[in-house]
Amino acid sequence: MNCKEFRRILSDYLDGTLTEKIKKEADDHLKICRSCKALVEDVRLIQKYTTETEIPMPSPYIFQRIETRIAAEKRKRPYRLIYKLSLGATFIALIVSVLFFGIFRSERRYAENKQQIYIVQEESSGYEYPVYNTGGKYILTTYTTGSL
Amino acid sequence: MEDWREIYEKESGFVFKFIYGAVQNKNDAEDILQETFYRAMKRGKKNIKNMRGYLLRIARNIIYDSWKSRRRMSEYIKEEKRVDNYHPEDIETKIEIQKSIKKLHPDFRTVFVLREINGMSYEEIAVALRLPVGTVKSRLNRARLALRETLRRKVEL
Repeated sequence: MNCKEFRRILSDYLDGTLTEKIKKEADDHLKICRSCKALVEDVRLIQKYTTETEIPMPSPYIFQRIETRIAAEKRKRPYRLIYKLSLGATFIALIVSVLFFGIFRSERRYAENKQQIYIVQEESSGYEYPVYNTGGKYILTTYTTGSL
Repeated sequence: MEDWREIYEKESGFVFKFIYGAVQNKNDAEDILQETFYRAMKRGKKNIKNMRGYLLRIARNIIYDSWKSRRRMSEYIKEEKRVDNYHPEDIETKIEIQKSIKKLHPDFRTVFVLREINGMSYEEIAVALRLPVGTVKSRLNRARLALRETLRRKVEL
């Protein structure tokens, strides 16, 4: 085993999760490698200090604080719901009115156009063409265009 | 709410131990504990099979977020020094270790604290954090090596 391989299995070595064969190889490597031996000693020291960390007790009022926070939010919730609902209703009303206005306008234009269809006879050929009125300008419905 | 009180009484000690180990400051740890349970209670406990793992994951995410924002703002965490019975050099080493733990990337710190402070096995950590055991092992290894490297550099300086 070389140093690189040992560093890869360091945690397993420290936590005792290696197989007998690999553990023996690791031990043999540590007998001849000062650098890896120092590494093991340092990490064990870190483990020792970390494990000995004194954990203080959390304040006994934390759960009470959470309950207060949730209760305060619940009190605010109905107003928030009313606000959201009114905002939604306004938006829907706006969309409906825009759609309604658009449909109404196109219907009206169609009705106007329908009323103003004329039959025009061309003098030279004697053919008859239907024409309709769009805002004061007369347009022939076929490819032939011209003014009356 | 009563169910949550029971869960709090059962799990808060363990979760606090993890948070404190990761942030090394009592006030910060209490804030994170409060936020952890608040988020859990707000989301409810539907389909939660492993409550401890669920709480640990929420706490880890909060620690990760605060680590990101602190790194962005280049803020320094206030040191909390305690008086205890150690020799002066031991106290120094201990403080250096605490500082180095705080500087670890949250992914490595989480696994390291759960293993060394909470005393969880590789398998328990893997289940709690929903990670493969191999990832837990490699993160723990990297955390240990990084801590040792940081301390060695400090000693050399």
